[in-house]
Amino acid sequence: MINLTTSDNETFTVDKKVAEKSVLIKNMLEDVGESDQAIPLPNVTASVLKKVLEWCEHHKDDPAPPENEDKDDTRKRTTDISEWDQKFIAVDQEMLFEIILAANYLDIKALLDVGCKTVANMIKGKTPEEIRKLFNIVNDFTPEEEAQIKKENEWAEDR
Amino acid sequence: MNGGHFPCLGGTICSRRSLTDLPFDCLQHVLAYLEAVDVISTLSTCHSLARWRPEESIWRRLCLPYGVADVTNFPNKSFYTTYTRLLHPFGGLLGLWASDMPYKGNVLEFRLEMGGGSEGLLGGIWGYVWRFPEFGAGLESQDDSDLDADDTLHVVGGGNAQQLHVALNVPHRPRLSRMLRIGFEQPPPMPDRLGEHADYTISATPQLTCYAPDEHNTTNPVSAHMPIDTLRPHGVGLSVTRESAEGYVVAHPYGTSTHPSFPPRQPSLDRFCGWYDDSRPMPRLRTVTVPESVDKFHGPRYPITIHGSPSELPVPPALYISCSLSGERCRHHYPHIPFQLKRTFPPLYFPLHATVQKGLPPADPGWTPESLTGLWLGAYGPHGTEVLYIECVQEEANDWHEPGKMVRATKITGDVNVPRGTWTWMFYAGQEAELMSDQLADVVPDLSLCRLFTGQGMTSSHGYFDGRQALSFLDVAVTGPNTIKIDWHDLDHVSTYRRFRGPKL
Repeated sequence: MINLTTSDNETFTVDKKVAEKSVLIKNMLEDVGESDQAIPLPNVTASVLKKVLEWCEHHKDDPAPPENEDKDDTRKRTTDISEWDQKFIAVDQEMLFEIILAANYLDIKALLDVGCKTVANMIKGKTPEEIRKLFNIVNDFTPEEEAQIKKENEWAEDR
Repeated sequence: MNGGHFPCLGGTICSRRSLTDLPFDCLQHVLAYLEAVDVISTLSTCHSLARWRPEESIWRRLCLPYGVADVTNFPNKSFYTTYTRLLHPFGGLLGLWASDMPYKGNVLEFRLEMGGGSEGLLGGIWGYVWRFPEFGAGLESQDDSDLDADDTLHVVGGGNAQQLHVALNVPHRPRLSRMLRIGFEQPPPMPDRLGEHADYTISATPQLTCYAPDEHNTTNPVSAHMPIDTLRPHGVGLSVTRESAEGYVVAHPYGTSTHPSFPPRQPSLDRFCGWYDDSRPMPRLRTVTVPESVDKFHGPRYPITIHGSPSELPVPPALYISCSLSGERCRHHYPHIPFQLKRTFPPLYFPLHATVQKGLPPADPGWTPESLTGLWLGAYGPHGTEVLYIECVQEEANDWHEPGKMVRATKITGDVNVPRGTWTWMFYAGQEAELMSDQLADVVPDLSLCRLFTGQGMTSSHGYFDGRQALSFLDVAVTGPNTIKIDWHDLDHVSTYRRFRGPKL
């Protein structure tokens, strides 16, 4: 069993197999060796870690992703998400982005994929104005800047 | 960490994590799942996201599906410009296109040229016309031996007469004839060389240039290496047409005949013939409506003329190429026919399926008629090589045969006897047969390694006018994974058909 301590000082005790879904933790364990000492995770809060561990628990028996995966994957990327993951990721936006940040920090590629696909699916087919509304983004362009961007984006317009 | 409280834009404090809080590698991960239009919308929402717009890795990812992993030889040397100005609008051109030019048809091929090489060419998209060696134009010296790779049953050698006979009855590979270039540079002088443009700014808008041959060039070889200075550069516009209903009708001394519709419908199936590639997205170009034919004609006439006319079947969206060559037609789009073409707008081009299937040896017990599916090249005597699409369809029983699989070859390019858009021959794959004549036995050394069928072929007198068509009985021998030989009884000769496996470069 492994102990993990969050930024808000909560400690979670989990199966080694579950914790090792995180490449960060796996590498730490390899470097330091196993001990009773809790591993500090200063970038993750308890509520987020709880959620992340729930995902790791469910996926603990998944085969490891292929190493050296080509970053320039030219195959058509699909945004399909498995049913369980869809239910898992049906959270409020704040939690969604927290999970993405945590997955990125903990280096859990499959979970990062689920989060990023979910955000991508939310964006698909929307105009910049709709995207602003969706993510609460303030339009901070001056009218001149906006006109310039519109001109530069002409290639993307339907003709 | 500060408990999730981050300064939002505008300086107020809010607790909501948002898209703008993601580090670039996470954001890029999200963008990697998006189409280009969604990417640019996302990067057009606020300053914080817009600062990633010039990030080349985003645009490199979008260039990769087109095979562009390196932009050294593209002017501007930028993945952003290459994607947004060239690949986004014009990338859908890449591949093959079949034209509805009456009788002859025509095939275009668009390829992405990466540039560089010994000539130091700039990268861009080139459009080529498929040309085949013509009868009497030095056919004997055309080396297409690479076509025969699997055809060990091939020809019995001999003198000149023998060779000419052979050249007439075997198909040749298409030669690519330069037609049009889409690139960022001012067109002439050609070839554009790297390093000569350093002194001025490269325009961010690609130039479209068509290079017209001065005459119908029937001498060989008509290839990509045809000297560019013998061609006349002129402007050209590309657009995509909406669905229309414009076809052709032929007025001739015996009356009028509707020209076969194009792309053809597959009889008995509610879809276009399998060569029509509806899975390929059309290029993102201006959409135009096909002009209705204004040309009204009345009754039979001589000389024979071809007019625009409402088609029986809907004509799907097509590529529309309008050359601005003052008062003339750009010859690339009008292969020679002996009739006057009166339709006022140029031939339309439809996406042509180009996937090459691996053939199976006919003696293999696992051989299926489906393994023949795809593009083929056929020898049509003095008409030269024509492009066919073979497909296998399930047929209901009728008066003549049991239900079963029928193999049918449809013409993508054609001739004045049997035009593009018609089927040229067919056979029932369920009925392997004895040969009706011994002509095939004369040219195929070992028929026991072949699959033999009997079928029917379409023939017609000059013009393919209504009532002038006739069916011929055929002996069909699948002699290799990529070769079919057919004995046309009524024409009294054996023609060879070969699977298309790429043009001759």
